[in-house]
Amino acid sequence: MLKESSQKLLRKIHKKIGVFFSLFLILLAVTGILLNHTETLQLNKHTVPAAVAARYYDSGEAVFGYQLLGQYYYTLSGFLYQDQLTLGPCEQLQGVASSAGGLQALCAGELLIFTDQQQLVERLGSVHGLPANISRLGVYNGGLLLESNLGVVGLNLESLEIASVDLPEANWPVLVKVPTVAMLDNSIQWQQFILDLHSGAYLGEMGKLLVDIVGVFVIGIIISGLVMWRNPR
Amino acid sequence: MVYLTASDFLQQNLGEQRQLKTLWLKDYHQQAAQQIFGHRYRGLRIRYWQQAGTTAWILDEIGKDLPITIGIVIDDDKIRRLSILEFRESRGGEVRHPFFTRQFDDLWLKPDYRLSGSIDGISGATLSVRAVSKVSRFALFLQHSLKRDLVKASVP
Repeated sequence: MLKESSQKLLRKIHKKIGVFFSLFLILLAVTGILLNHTETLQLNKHTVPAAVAARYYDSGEAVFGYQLLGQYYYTLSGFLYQDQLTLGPCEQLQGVASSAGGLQALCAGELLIFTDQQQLVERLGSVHGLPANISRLGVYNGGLLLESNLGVVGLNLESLEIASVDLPEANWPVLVKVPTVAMLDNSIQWQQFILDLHSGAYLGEMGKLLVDIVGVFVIGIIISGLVMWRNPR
Repeated sequence: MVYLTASDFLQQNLGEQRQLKTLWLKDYHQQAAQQIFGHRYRGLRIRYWQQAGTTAWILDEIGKDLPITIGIVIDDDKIRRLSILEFRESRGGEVRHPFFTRQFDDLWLKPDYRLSGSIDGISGATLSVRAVSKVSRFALFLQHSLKRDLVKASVP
């Protein structure tokens, strides 16, 4: 039998913790019910809109790349991306350009040539007569320009002939921060999204810890409830 | 690690008069690549160099994790010289030594896309040996395909 004062304290704690965590419990219960009916609700077949996913899955790490014709080009984990589309291996993107009806990307001094359908045509480097240490890629009058230690040269992509050019007012790509929404495709399923809400993973490690704390306090509420049930007023 | 620059390799084997050429890959090239490498060749065209009847190919293939850049000179459908131009992996670099690369001299491609002779492996460099061997087979196939395309083009 608990003392009257202890019972009062226990009741107070039980009430306050219960109120405080009730919203979390409702969230856990609702997401749990939804996950329980994944197949019926087809949560594994429908995807979360990219704008919504971007809000919750932004890692906070800035990714820089280049914007060309309304699309973003950037590298992640050694791969070159055009918005959400993987174009191929690329360690360090130094610029992108669009000339001769295709796309060109400068990756660690190597020139990657793509068709306008994002198909790789070839990789060109110093072996093909391109200058070593190319640092920038630009476009002038529809032609491709390469800047290296030797200055700016024009490159004919078919014949690979290089012609020195007077430094024109070329269109050099500028490094910009890539918005998360441009990087996220519509591949995040509702099932994953709800599971991340349920587990707290959408808040990262902090979120998981928070859900753990909620779980511990739920156990505490149950125990305190049982104790109060065994010790009526 | 660069063991031989591409320009030195081309200069040593084809001289100044070499011409840069382009081979557009067709379906049958990709089918052969699939059979030889186990994957399609990434790209729609390959550049190569020619001097009279001799061609030189510079191709990359991944050994374990990183690409090995290999130069192959082909004359009369046989390998005249194979050189490792750049090796990027931490292990397996022994394939650059002449005792290994000399084994490819005078080898040709059999109809089943295998080399006409066997290549002795190097312990600890199995994947690199495989990559070099595959590239040599593909280069021989590409050289052979030049003739095939030429014959096709000449048929009225």
